Amino acid sequence: MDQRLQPPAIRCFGLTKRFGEVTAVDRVDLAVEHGRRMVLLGPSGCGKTTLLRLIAGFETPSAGTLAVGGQVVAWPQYSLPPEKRRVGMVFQDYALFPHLVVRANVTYGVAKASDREDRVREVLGLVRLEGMARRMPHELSGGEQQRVALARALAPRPAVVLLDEPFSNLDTRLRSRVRGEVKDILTAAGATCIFVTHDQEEALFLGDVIAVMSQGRVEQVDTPEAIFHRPATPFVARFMGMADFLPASVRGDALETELGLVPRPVAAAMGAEVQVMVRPDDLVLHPDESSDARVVERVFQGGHYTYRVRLPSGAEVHSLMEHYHILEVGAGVRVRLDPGHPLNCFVDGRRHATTPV
Amino acid sequence: MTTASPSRGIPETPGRRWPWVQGLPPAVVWVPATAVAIVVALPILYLAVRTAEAGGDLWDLLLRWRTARVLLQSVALAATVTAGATLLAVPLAWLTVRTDLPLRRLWSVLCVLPLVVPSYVAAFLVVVALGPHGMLQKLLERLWGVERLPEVYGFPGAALTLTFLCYPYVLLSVRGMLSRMDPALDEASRNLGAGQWSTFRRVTLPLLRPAIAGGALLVALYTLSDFGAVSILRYETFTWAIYVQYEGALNRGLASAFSLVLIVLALAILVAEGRVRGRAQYHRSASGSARPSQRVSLGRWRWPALAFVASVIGLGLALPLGVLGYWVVQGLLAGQRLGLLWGTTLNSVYVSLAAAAVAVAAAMPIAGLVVRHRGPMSSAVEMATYTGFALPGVVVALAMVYFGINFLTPLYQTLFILVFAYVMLFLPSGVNALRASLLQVNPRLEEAARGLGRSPLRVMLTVTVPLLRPGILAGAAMVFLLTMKELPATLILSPIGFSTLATSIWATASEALFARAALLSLVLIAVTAVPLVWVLRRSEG
Repeated sequence: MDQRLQPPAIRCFGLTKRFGEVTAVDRVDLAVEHGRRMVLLGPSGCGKTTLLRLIAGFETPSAGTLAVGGQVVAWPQYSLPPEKRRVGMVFQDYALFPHLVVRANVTYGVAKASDREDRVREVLGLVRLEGMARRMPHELSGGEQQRVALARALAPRPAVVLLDEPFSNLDTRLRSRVRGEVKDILTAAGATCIFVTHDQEEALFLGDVIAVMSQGRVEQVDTPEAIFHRPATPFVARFMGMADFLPASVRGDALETELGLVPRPVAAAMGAEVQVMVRPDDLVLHPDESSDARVVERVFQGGHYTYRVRLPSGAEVHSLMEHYHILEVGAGVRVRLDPGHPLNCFVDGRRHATTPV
Repeated sequence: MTTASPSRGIPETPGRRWPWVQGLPPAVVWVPATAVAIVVALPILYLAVRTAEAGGDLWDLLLRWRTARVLLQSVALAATVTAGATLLAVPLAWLTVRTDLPLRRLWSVLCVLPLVVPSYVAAFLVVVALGPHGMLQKLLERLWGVERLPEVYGFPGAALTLTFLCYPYVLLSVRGMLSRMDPALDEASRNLGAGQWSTFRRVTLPLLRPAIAGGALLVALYTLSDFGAVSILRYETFTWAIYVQYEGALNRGLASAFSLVLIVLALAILVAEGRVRGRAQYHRSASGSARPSQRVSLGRWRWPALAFVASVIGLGLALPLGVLGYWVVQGLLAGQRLGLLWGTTLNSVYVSLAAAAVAVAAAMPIAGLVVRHRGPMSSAVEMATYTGFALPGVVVALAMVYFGINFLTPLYQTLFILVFAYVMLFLPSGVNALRASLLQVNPRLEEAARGLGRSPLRVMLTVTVPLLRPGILAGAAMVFLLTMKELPATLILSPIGFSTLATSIWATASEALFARAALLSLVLIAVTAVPLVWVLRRSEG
């Protein structure tokens, strides 16, 4: 069947969850298409885990509806029990049953006894743990536990797999390896999945689509490239990487900032509050003792330095320089805006490109 | 898994005077812990001496038909009570922790309270209410002319009574485990397509196994050591047989032979518990954010569940209290004088407080050793402290009589010996509470304090003990409760003229002064319930 004719694997309309006074998830609209990987990204407390638990069926929405594979499974005060949803979940701490061996953990969700043997072989093969079927969970390393949890979630052939901060319990070195493995496994299984993470690098790596959340709201849903290069709000811009904002005023066809003129977007009317977003790689520093801009901090990062510079107005910007450009703290510098691409600016909190349309 | 070799990081000091001290925990911990362990193991020494005296007769005594019969009866009672208590306690625990049972918080306190009813009081109630010419039979006679009820004396009465008194041990243990269990495991099971009942059967119950085994262990050991219920209901188990031998000064050799078999039985139960517990690791799998588990909605099972909980509490608590109250009222109406309780009550409270304070103080270094310094020494000390669990009050009391008469003559017939016996008997409860509490104190805190230049003793006083406060209070409350109810050791070791609530109830009930015995029982239950309810409410948060 043509994929476009299928209903999305997951669809939320105005999904809301309140705990007393606190609104953890606030009118979220989302759709995840079959076979896609979506990442819910946001700082801790932004509601991403609650959203995941709503989808899994561990919470009942306060408002809005939720559909899995076209079937509506939750609406206000009603929630189809989690065991009837065909939604698999990989828990943050894996939640492997400590009293069952790997095999029994994996077959737990496979209803038909006749399927079990094949399915265990299949999914343990997928996660490359064929030899571990008789081990107890505590006899496995963190990465292996992770893969068992994934195999267990995949075994009942769920419509969607949810992964709650799946790599947060692994140490940094292991993490990048396991991340790649998990991505490959999920791709091989053709699974539709939703990750929750607070790590933007992880989100860029894993997601076909990223939904950035803040205070219960979805701020932007887009491809990783679009999220990074065309953030919809200043929040997204800051969250996706270091970004500074220069106040600008409209002057003719240009915007005037402390670092010079940039092209003016149409939407920026006279008198509007405009901010131009600059990332550290957009700025170049030149030593210049006559300048009033001063280096206030230098951070060594191996191949390059990140300098923090205080401009005469008091605003601070960051600049990324190759490791052979050595400037001392306190040195005077001239800051040149050299992006090589249109800059983003925010007019009243909404993004516009600085190239006139 | 990486285990640092013990010597790593500790440079070998040449010519050090006490090389063997190097591997030891700090002296402030191991010296008092070992001392306490040796002292509480004294009754074993007593039994060894007695057995040696009995010499060749011992085998003769052990192989008698009577010994075998008493053994079988003890085992049958312990097995029945343990099974019954588990069947009552596991559903109760689940209902009061995990579900939306109406009035859940009230039930969760009430269903622990049968713990405060002494077994001799419960047994009297069973006799008077259900026995021949008892209240139920008279009622039925008036209504339908029933003249005989099934026999309550012997096995059925003893098993019934002890089951209802003992289930809280399993309940508390299972409840603790249930509320600590990672809710993600339940969620994972539901997520994989298992319903509520299936989740309970396939995940929750297997994970509760160690807690059930731990609680069942306490029930089995308590049943073996119980004296009040079996003696009143005339069911011959080891404790009663030992007491009868002692009272009648008949045959000390037989008493110690019985004691030995009893200890072997207790050890066998301890080993069996270890087997059932298994080797799987049942801890919370990761720190993560601890989410309180969601309550299971009982739906249409609400009312049957409520009826079950209410009837257990009704039989285990409300009915006994009701009958006791009825007797008091009857006695007052008949013009009996019920005064003169204050002295007795104060005596009980006073020795129980003393026992609680000493037991907790003695438990502290042991808990410290057992939790923080695992090794052969701590295992030995832990085993020794568990002696109290395995030994019935009768045996401990007889050991104290022996040591009192032969070695500690000035202390014999004083309260010191009595309190000492209580501490031996109930030290394990103190150690248990402190150990549970200490396991939750992060050892990094103690290391931080050491790093800030404090000595081990100062660290213990300024960091560990304040953090242990909940455990200290819980342990003290438990020892207080057990001491208040204790009967056989109190009967044997009380100085002449010193009476407690327990001994007065025993004496007045033996003389069939029911109204007075009932009033004393109510006072005992009320005083004992206060610290228990307080601890329960604190732990509920």
